[in-house]
Amino acid sequence: MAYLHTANIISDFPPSHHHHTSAGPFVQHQITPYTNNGGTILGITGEDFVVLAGDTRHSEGYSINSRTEKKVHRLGKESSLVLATVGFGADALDVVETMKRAVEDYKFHHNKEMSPPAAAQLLMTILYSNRFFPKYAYCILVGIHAGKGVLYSYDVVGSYSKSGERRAAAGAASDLIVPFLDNQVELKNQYVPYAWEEEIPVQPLPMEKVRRLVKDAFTSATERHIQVGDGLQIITVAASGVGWGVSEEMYELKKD
Amino acid sequence: MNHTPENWGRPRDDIYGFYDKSFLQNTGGAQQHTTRPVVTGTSVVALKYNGGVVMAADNLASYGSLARFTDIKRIKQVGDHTIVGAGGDISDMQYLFDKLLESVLIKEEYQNDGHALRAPHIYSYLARVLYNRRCKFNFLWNSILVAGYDDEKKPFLASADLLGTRFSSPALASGYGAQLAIPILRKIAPDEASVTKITKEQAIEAIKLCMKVLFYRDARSMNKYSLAVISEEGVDLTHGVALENESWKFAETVRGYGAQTV
Amino acid sequence: MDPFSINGGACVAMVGKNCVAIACDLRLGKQTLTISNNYPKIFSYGDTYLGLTGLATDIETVSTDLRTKVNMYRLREERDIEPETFTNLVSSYLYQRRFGPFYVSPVVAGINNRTGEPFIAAFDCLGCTDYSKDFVVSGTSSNQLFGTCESLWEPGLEPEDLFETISQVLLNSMDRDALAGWGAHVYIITKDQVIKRLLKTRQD
Repeated sequence: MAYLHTANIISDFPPSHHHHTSAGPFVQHQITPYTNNGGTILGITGEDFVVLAGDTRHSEGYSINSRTEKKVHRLGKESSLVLATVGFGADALDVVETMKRAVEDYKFHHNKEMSPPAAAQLLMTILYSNRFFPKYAYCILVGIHAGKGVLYSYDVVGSYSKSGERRAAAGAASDLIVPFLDNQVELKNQYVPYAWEEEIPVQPLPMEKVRRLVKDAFTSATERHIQVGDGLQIITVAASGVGWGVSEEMYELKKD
Repeated sequence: MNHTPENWGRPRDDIYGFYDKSFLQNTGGAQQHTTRPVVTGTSVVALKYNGGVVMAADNLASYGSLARFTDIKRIKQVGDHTIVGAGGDISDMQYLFDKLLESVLIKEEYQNDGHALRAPHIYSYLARVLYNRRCKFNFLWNSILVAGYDDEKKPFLASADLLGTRFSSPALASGYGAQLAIPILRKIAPDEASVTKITKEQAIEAIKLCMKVLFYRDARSMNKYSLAVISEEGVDLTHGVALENESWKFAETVRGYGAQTV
Repeated sequence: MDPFSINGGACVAMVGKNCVAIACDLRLGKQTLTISNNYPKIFSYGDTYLGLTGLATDIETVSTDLRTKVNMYRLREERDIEPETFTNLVSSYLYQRRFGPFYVSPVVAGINNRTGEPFIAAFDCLGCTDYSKDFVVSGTSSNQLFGTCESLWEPGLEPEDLFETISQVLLNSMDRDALAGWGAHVYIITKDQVIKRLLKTRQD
């Protein structure tokens, strides 16, 4: 016992006024500049259209802040660009607002809409310029370029593929949705029956099929993820044909 | 010995005592940031109804567990149709209310262009200020609710906090209100469509009930509060409203905290 | 460092029309380094099947301990153990180690020999039982498995359709998990036969 007592005195020297652990009149709590507001986004391209969707739940911990907060944003009234962001809500909205302004400025300066590849690189620049205090926002950017639906997805510091992607999911339930998309959009692990080892060729999906996959992905994610639910916002950008232009649909998701 | 560069060539503290930096005007030390809230206000609750918004926040400012000030106004009217309610650090709230919002209003008045700032503009401004300060790691330690009318003259209600997090909903509450008041309010206002069926009287009644429940269970609350009702006529903001019809009968059934042993 | 994800692995069980299926991957790893591509995680106890993911050493211990217990049961009762009974056995066995648990997430699948009812269940490492009417998952790919199961599974699948479903679920899930994959085993269990298939999978 005496030995232990001596050890205590030594470890208490010099007397520390900072870094209280549990004892002491003040509990020093560390504030972080980030929080996680949950939610998931998902985008799929077709031949001449692209669909971008997100749930409308906004949460923090076990609390639901709002059931109607949209995550998918058009970047301009005349533009085909649509941006969806998830992660830390404040950073996500800031990225969207920065992009909206840039797209507007571009039009004022050049008297034409910003092209999706240009917007894609701009978004990368914005995200990477915050490399050492990152905007905690996972982004999916879509638009119509040369008559085709294009999609770019980013990590929080701006990594993206210049050539775009066929589909992407990000946010809380991306773990649940991505393998489903691999299977149903990329047709991974699907083979022509009885023609051994011949993969089913990947081809662009029709719009109705894409919408159905999006709804299935979100109803499934809602079932198994507490941060996903309430509502589903689907924005479709079509280059031609029926429903030309940008349209928005809203669907109900479970609220539990 | 302290070998850090700022001490190079300085007299040794252990021999000559600490260097007197008092003549320097805050250039000697590091920039001071708020690391924790000190004097605090608790929940703010608000609910939309078919003609506007009702909001309430009690009049207490706590210093830790001490009920330090009992006449603090945590709801501010901004212009003709907007109110802002704040919880969290009171000094930061007073900076927002009395310095920032006042100067914004004065600047807007000087324009004299017939245009007035409405709730979404005030909200946008405040959320941006909060977000800017969080980006500088210099938080304004508040959670605020902004209520009023939007540009289409529809009821507006939204929230922002010290991180710059923004969201909007027919019923909002900060602090303990998010746990205790939101379930009560969402029962009558589950979505935007249901707001059209809620009358002003119902909304006031619901908000008063929330303030009562919060007083029962939030140890940092008090039984006197500010109540704001926004309607077509403008803002009706009353401070020092007394809690009505409280009954502590339920306390008899609560066991295990007080003097009773069984 | 998390004992549940040192070795990696995936397991899933599903209910079909008068049939059940259980499947697992074959990888055994030491963190990101793959040690073996032939490490099955499904064990049979008569007509009842047990899938075990988690810490490999505990998979060995739990599967052999349960082998002893099921053998003792069979000697005493002179019959095979039913999946429901086996589930209770697994649960109470794991709970005995409440304060020093085996780091495994078991999955049970079988058909009740008396009623012919399909049965599946899963547990946490302490023995808390999760009875399910559709599917159960475990392992490092559990999130992916939940997502794919929830969207690909449907009620009343015939044995061959159930095989296709559980195979697609497992394959696509473990392809998105660096700690699982490298081959797979699938068991389709009906009242009068059990079909075991080895799936050819990506080897990365």
